[in-house]
Amino acid sequence: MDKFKVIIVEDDKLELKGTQQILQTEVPEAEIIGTATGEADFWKLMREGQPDLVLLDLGLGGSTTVGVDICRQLRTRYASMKILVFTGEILNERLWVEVLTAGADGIILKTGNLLQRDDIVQVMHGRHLVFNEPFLEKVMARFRKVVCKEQASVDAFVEYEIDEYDERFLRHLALGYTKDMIAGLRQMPFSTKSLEKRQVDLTNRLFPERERSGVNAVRLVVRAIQLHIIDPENLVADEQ
Amino acid sequence: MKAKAALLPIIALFIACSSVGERNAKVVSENNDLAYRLRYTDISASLQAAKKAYSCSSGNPDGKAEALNNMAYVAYQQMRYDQTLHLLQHVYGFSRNQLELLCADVLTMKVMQRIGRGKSFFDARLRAQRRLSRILSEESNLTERQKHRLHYALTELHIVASTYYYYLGQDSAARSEIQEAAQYVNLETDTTQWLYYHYMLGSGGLVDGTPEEVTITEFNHLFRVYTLAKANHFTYFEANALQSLSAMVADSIRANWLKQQRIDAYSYLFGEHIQWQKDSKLSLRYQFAAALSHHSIALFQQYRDLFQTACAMRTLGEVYFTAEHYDDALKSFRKALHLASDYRRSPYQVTPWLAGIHENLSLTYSALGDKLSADNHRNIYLDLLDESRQNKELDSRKALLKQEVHSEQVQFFFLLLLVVLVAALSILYYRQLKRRSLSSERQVREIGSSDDFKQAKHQLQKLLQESEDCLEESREECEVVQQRILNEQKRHILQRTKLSVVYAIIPYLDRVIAEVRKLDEMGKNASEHLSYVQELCTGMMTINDRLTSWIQMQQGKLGLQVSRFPLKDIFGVISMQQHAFAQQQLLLEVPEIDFLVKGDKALTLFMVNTLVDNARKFTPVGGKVTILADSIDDFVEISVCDTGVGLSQEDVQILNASKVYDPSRIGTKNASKGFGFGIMNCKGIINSYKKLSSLFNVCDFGVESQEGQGSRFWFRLPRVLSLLFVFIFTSFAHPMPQRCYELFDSTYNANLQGRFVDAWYYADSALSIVEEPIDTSLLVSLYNEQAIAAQALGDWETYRQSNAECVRLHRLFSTDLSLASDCQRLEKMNEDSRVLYVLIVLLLIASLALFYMVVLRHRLRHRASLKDLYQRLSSVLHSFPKNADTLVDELKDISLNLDQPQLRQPVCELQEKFTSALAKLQENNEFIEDFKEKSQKQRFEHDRLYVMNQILDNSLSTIKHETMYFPSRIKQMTDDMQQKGVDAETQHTLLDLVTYYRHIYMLLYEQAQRQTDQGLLRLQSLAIRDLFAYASKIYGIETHPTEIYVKGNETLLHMLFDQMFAVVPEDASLYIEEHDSMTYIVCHVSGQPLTHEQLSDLFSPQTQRLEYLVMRQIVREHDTACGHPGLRLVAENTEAGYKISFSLLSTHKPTNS
Repeated sequence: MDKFKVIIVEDDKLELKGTQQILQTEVPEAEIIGTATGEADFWKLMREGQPDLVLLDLGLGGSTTVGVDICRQLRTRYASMKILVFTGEILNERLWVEVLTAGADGIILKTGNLLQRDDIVQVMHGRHLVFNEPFLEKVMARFRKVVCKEQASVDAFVEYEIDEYDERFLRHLALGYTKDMIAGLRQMPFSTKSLEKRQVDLTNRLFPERERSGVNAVRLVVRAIQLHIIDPENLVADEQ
Repeated sequence: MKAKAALLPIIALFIACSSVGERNAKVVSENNDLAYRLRYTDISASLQAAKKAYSCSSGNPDGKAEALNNMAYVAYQQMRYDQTLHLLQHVYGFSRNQLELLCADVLTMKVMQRIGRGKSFFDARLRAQRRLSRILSEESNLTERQKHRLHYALTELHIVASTYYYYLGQDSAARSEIQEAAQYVNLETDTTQWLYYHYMLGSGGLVDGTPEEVTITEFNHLFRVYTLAKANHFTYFEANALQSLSAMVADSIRANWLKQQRIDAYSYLFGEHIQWQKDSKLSLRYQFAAALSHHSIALFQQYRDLFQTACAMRTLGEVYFTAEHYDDALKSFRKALHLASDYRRSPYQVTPWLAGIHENLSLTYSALGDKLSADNHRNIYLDLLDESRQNKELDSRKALLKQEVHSEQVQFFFLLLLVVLVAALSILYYRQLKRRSLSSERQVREIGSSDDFKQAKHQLQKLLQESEDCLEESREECEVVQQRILNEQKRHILQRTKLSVVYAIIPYLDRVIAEVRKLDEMGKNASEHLSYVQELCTGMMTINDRLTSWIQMQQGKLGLQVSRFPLKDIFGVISMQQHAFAQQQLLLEVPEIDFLVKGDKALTLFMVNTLVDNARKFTPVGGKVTILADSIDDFVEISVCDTGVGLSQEDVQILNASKVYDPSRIGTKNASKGFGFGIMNCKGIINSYKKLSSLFNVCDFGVESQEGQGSRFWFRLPRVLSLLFVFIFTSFAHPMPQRCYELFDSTYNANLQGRFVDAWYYADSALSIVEEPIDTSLLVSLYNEQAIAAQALGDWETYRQSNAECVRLHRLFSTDLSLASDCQRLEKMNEDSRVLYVLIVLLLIASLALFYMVVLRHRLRHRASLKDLYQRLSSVLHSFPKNADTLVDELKDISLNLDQPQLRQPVCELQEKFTSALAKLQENNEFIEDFKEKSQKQRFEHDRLYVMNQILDNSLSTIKHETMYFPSRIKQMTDDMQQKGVDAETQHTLLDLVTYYRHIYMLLYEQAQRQTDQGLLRLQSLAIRDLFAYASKIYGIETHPTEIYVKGNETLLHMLFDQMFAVVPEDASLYIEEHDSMTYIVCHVSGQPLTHEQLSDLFSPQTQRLEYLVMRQIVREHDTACGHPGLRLVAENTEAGYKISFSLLSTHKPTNS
C-alpha cells in the first residue's frame, strides 16, 4: 500500500490519542496531516491541504450528529476522497443508515477491536462498505432475523398446506375485501359459498382444535400474519 | 260554659257526700289526717291509719279516695310503683271528688317523674291543671280541711314539676315552679309541706347567687330542715337533709365556705356525727361526710324507705369516690344498686336513678382500672338514658292534632268559599262560569310566570351555574396536571442527559479493553500503552465524579407529590417483605396502628423501604427489625429499629449533622459498605419537604445507634389533623359539618382502639369547631365519646363536664317542653272547630248538590280539560330537572295534542325558553366529560413519567454506586504493571476485570435505558419571536426581532433557554443566523473569550456544568425528532467575547395559528 494522507476529526482528546496510536503502530503508511476537534477546525484544515482519507467522528462537542452533515458535504465536494466514520452510537442503527446514505465508505463502531489495519487497507483500495467486526456482527444479527422470517414463511406454506388460492384469499381478506368481492376476482374461480367453506377449512388448518371457536375473518388474517403466510409489508391486491 | 255546666253536678255530689254518715266520716277523716301526718315520720303507722280509714269508708267515697291516696303514697315510698298506680287507678275508677283526683294526679306525676316516663308525667300534669282550674273557680265553696288538702296538692304539684325540670336541666323552669310552690307553704298549718319545700331548696340547683352564696343559702335551708325534722321526728326529712349535707361536706370547696361562714352549725353537726364513722383511712372531712351519709342510711332504714336508703347509700359511695377510696365506693354503689334492684322485676323501674348509679359504677370501675366492667356499666347507663327519652308519642300526637287543625281550617275555609260561590253563582250564572273558564285559560297562557315555571327556571339557572363551575374546575384541574406533566418531562430530559453521561464511559472502556488485549504484542511500547490506559481511567473517573456531583445536586430538587394518606398503606407494602426476612432468618415487625399523614406517598414508601433494606443488610441472622409509628404532638414519628451491627458515634454524628458527606465513608469499619447513600436520599427527601412549605416544619430525620447493639433510624411527617385545622379556618366555611363528622369518626375509632388521648384530642377539636345549629345528635355523640375518653384517662373534671353536656343535650333533644300545652290547646281548637264544621258541612252539602245538578256539571268538564292541561304543564315543569332530557319533547307532545288551538302559542314559547338553555347545559356537560377524560389521560401520562423518572433516579444511583471503584482499581493494576512489567497472568487478570466492568456497566445502562421515554418528541412550527419573548421576559435578555419560524418543542426550547441562562451572564444578546435549511439561534456574550480548554470541554461529559449537557440533550432530541441529523450546538470565541449557537430546522409559518 502506498503512503497516504489522513485527517482525524475527533472531539475527545483521549480517543484522538488512541486512534493516532493505532495508525502510528499498525498503519505506518498513513501520514497524519492534521487533527481537528470541531467542525470549524476541520474545514480550516481542509483548506490547508487535501487528505486521501478522513477519519470522521460522528458527534463533535454539542453537535452529536454533525458527522452526517460533514460527510455529505465532503462527498459532494471531493467525490474520490475516502471517508471512514467513527461512532460510539452503538445502539442507534438509524444513524448508521444516515451516514452511509451521506456517502461514507465505511463505519467503525467504537467498541470491540476498534480500528484494524485491514479496515484502512480495504478503504484505501477503494472498497465501499467497510465495517469493523462489531458492526458486522450487528448487521448479521439483523440479516439472520430477516432470513429466518422468510424461511418461516416457506415452512408455513408447507406445514399448513397453503396453496395460491389460500394465500390470495387471505391476502384480500386482510385488505378488507368481502367474500363477494373476492369471488369476483379474475384469478379466483370460486363462488362465495365455496369461499366460506375455504375459510372454515383454513380455520381448521391454522388453529389447534381448542382455539377454533369464535374465529372470524379478522382473527384468521391475524393468525396468517403471525405464521408468516402473508406479509403485512407486501399486501397488494390482484387485478380485478 | 260547657265546663262549668259539667262541674255543677260534681260539686253537688261533693257536698252531698260530706253530709252522709257523719260519725263514720269523722273516724275516716281523723285516720286520714293521721296517715298524712305520719307519712314522713313512721311509714308503717301511716299505712295502718290509712287502711283503717279505708275500712271505715264505705258509703263515704271522698274519705275512701283520700285513704286510697294515702295508701298509694306509702306504696310509693316503698318503691311499689305498680301497687301505687293500681291504688290510684282505683281512685280514678270510682271517685268524682276533683280534689282527691287532683291529689291522685299529683302522685301519679311523682311516680312518673321517678320512673322517668316523661309522657305520662305530662299527661298527669295536664289532667291536674284542668282539674285545678275547675276547683279554683269554686274555691270559695271549699271547707277549711279541703283548702288544706288543696294547698297540699298545689305544693306537691309545683315541687314535683320543679324536680322534673331540675333533672331535665331546665333550671329556670325548675326555679319558677318552686317559687310557685312558696305561696302555698305554711309552717303552722302544714309542717310536712314546709319541710318538703325547704328541703327542696336546700337540696340544690334552685337557688340563685354566686356559688358561695348558693352554698350558704342551701346549707341554711338544710340545717333548718334537719333541726326541725329532728325535733318533730320527721325521720324522712331528717335523713334527707343529712344526705344532702353529706354531699355538700364531701365537696372541699363548699365545705371550706361552710367552715368560714357557718362554723357554728358546721361544728355542731360535726360533733354530733363524727363518732358514726370510724374509718381512720379517710381524712377528717371525708369521715364527717361519710358519717352524715351513714346516719342518713340508718334513718332511712328505720323509716323503711328502700329507695331513699339506696339514694343515701349512693351518696356515701360518692363521698368515698371523691375521697378516692374506690374499693369502698364500689361496695357502696353495688349495695345501693342491690337495694334498688329488689324491685327490678316490677314493670316500673326508677330508670333515671338506675342510670345514675350505673354511671357511678362505670366511673368507679374505670378508676379501679377495670375497663371492661366500666364499659359495661357505661353501656347500661346510656341504654337507660335512652329509655328515658320521652315524648315520642306526645310528639306524634301533636303532629296529628296540628294536622287535623290545619286540615280542618283548610276545609272550613274551602267550605265557606263554596257557600259564597253558591250564592254568587246562583245570581251570576253565565258571567261567573265564563270568568272561571277564562281564568283557567289565562293560567295556561301565563304559565310563563307561574311558580312552577320560576322554580324550573331557577333550577335551570342553578344547573347551568353548577355546570359552569364544574367546567371551570375541570379546566383548571387539566391545567394543573398539564403543568405537572411538563415538569416531569423536564425532569426526564435531565435524567436522559445524565444517562448520556453514563454512556460516555463506554467508548473509553472499549479502548481500555482493546489496549489491554494488545499489551503482550507491544513489547517495549507496553509502557506507553499502559500510560494511555491510565489516562483513560482518569477520564472515566472524571466522568464518574461529575455524575456523582450531579446526582447529589439533584437531591434538593425532588418533585414532591403531597397527599394525605394512611400509613397502613405503606406498612401493608412493607409487610410483604416479611417472607423474605424469614428466609434470611430475620424477624420483621410491622405495626398495626394507623395514622393519617401528609407527604409524598411514593417517597415515603421509598424511605421506609430504604431504611428497612439497610436494617436488613446490617442485621445478623436471628436479629429483628421493627417498624414503629408514634403520634407525638402534631407529627407522626416513623422509626425503623434493628438489632444489627450499629454505627460508630462518629458516623452517627456525620449522618445527623452534615448535609453533604461522602457516603462511601459511612460504615467502613463494617464489612459491607453502602450505608450512607440511602440515608442521604432520605435526608434529601425530608429537606425538600421542609423547603416546600412551613406545614412541613415538623419534618425531621435522625439516627440513634450503639455500635454492636443496633440502630434506630427515624423520620417525622406531619399528622393530618393539624392540616385539617388550617383548612377549616382558612378555606372551608361550608363543609364544617362534614369535618365534624370526620372528626367524630376518628374519635369513635380512637376510643374503640383504646387510643384515648387521641380520642380526647379529636373530640375536643370537633367540639371547638362546632356551632350550635349543627345536628344535636352529633353533639350528643361527641360529648359521649369525649366522656368515655376522659373516663378512661381518669380526667374526672372533663368527664363530668362532657357527661353533663351529653345528658343535658340528650334530654333537651328528646323533650319538647311546650308539647304538653300545645296538645291541650290544639285539642281544644279541634273540639270548637268540629261543631262549626259539622254545621257548615250540612249546609254546604245541600247547596252543593243543588248547584252541581243545576249549573256545574257540564261546564266543569270544559274547565277540567283546561285544568288538566295546566297540570300537565305544571307537572312537566315541576319534575324539572329530573326530566331535563325529555322536557322539550314532552312540551312538544303537549302542544301537538291540544284541544284548544289558541293555547298552542304559550306552550311553544315555553318550549323555546328551555331549548336553548338545555342545549347550553348539554354542551357544558359534554365539555366537562371531555376535560375529565383528558385529565384522566394526562394523569396517567404523568404517573407514567413520574414513575419512570423515579426509577431512573434509582438506576442512576445504582450505576454510580456499583461501578464507581472500577476505574481506580484498573488504574492501580496498570500502575503495578508499569513497575513490575507485563506478564501474561496479570494481563489476563486485568482483561477479566475490565471485561467484567464493561459487562456490568452495559447491563445497568441498558436497564436504565429501558426506562426512558421512547416516544418521539412532538414538534410544531414555532415563531422565533415567541421564543425570544420568553427569554427577554424571564431573563431580560436583549433580543433582535425576527419573523422566522422553526420546528421545535416549546417546552424543551424554554428549558434550553433556562439552562443556557443559568450558565451565561444575563447581559448576553440573542439573534439568529440562517444557513442552508437551518436557523441558528445565537447567544452572544461580550467580554472575556473562553479558553481553548473551556471551548473543547464545554459540551463533553467532563464539563463543569450539567446545564451544557442538558442543552446538548435537548438539541439531540430535536435532531432525532425532526428526522434531519446534523443539528448543531457550538460554542465559539468571537472578537468581543464568545457565542453559543444552536441550530433548528427552519419552517414556514403555521397556517392555522
